[in-house]
Amino acid sequence: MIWNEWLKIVNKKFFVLSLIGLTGAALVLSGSYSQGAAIDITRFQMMDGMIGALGMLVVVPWAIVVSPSIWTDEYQYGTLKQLFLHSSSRSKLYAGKAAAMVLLIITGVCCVAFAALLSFLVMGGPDMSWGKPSVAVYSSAALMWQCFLYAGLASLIGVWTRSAAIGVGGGLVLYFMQLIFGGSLVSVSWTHLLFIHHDDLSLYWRDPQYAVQMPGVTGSLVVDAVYMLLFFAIGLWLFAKERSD
Amino acid sequence: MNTILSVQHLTKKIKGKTIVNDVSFDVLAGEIVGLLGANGAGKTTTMKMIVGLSKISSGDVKIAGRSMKTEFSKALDDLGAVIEAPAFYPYLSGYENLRQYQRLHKKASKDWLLEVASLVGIDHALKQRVGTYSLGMKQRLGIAQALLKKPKLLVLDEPMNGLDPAGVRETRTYLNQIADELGVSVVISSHQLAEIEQMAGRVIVIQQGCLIAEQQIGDEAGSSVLQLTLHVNDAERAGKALTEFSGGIHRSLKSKQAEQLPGGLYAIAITLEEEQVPKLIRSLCEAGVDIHRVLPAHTSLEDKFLEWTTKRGEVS
Repeated sequence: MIWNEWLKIVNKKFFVLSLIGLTGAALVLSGSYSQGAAIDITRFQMMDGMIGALGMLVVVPWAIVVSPSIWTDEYQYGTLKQLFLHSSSRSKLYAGKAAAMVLLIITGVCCVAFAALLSFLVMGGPDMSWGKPSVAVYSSAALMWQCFLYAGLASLIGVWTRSAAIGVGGGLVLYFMQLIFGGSLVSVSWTHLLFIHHDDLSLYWRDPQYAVQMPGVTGSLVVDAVYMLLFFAIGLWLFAKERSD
Repeated sequence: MNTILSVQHLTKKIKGKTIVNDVSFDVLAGEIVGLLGANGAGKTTTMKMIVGLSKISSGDVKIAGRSMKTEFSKALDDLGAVIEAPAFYPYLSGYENLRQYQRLHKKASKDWLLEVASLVGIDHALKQRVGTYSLGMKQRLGIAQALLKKPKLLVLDEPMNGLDPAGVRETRTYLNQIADELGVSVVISSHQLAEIEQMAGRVIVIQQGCLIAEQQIGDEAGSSVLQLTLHVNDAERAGKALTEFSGGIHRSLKSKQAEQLPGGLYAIAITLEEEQVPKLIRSLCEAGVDIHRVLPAHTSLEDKFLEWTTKRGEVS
């Protein structure tokens, strides 16, 4: 089922073009970033910063845009009925789609990370040291995690409304609202129950002041995981009840 | 012969309104059954319940002896269907679309995929994107995907919609082939009654959610009851003779009705037992009626359909 879903994604021109766009953006921005970099900075530190900036402005919105269509295409093309006739397990179908979404995000983030790495390799100059790769690995993982969260939310809205446009629009609005107002809400304790303060785990090593107010990486991981499971469960329920009219 | 589909007291209620009411019928192995009904009669809802796309309010559906209620997964294994319009991913080729479904079934191989594509006559276009397909090609691809899991039962909702006469004829040919060669039972709904008449062995008529008629096609061919049209010169005398004839010992004479024809003749339609035909002709001759022609009258499925549905007070 995952392979089926993956093939549906990669055969779309939009996906291929968006991935080329992501990689191209990563190459160009990494190139210009390395020009103005401090002398003592390492390649992996630059990569960490690049992934953080690109992730916030490009990769997460990209994940929000491409993910809901994994589900909503079935409504748009009317293929869901056909799919239900070929599989007795709605849960497996839904899980296959969710797994394809995870694979899609991993591919996107890896493309960006490798493009940035390549760019810093070429543009960084022979004197620049490599540094610790762990910072770049952690920030890539944190970016994937953040993408899973928002893509899951956008997909849930898409399944609920059966509309990719509303899923994408809703997901993007919530994401940018969080970017704009999230910081000012950190001091309000009850908002710590919301995922908006736990979505970007890289803040724990990039912003020590932020880390002091929060429950720690494990706590944020748990909060995010609970929200992801909730999005998955509600989406699955909406998806599976489709035939029981 | 095995019963492949058993529909038992099938009922569907939505918000207190009964959409399908206590419908029961069986379909045998290799049989093609036409499901007829006016728009909104409940055909598609019945089909959706049969294939598990709509919840059954009461009653049950058994496919190859397995209940859709209690053994859904196993029952679904023996079922292939196209409900409403065949739908595909337009950016994938016909082959890739079929592969999407073929990968979901262990018993379906790539060779089988090509075989069913060839059977429905879509093999030449498998490399094309489905977005470029005509409606007829999509209908064929729809039937091919339904056959992928080697079903014992094929449920097709309006498979001839939008097809040109050649396409309709080809569909009829390969559906007959599927039933004859693969032994697959087919339940087919269509508004093209002439096609159903040529294809199906039996029809089931649904109106206002109720099963109102069930009849073998061509029943009259094997029956001793004949429908005849007599062309006579004198309607009055003929009518009198027929009244006397039917009023006597021959109770099988069901109707008599004269219609004026050009040339001063009258056409009288009658239904009677085959063995009574010579006696009737003799009676008419003895009454001084000249019989110019005795023609077998054929009642089409369309006529019967209208008769069945008007009896219930509603015509599509």
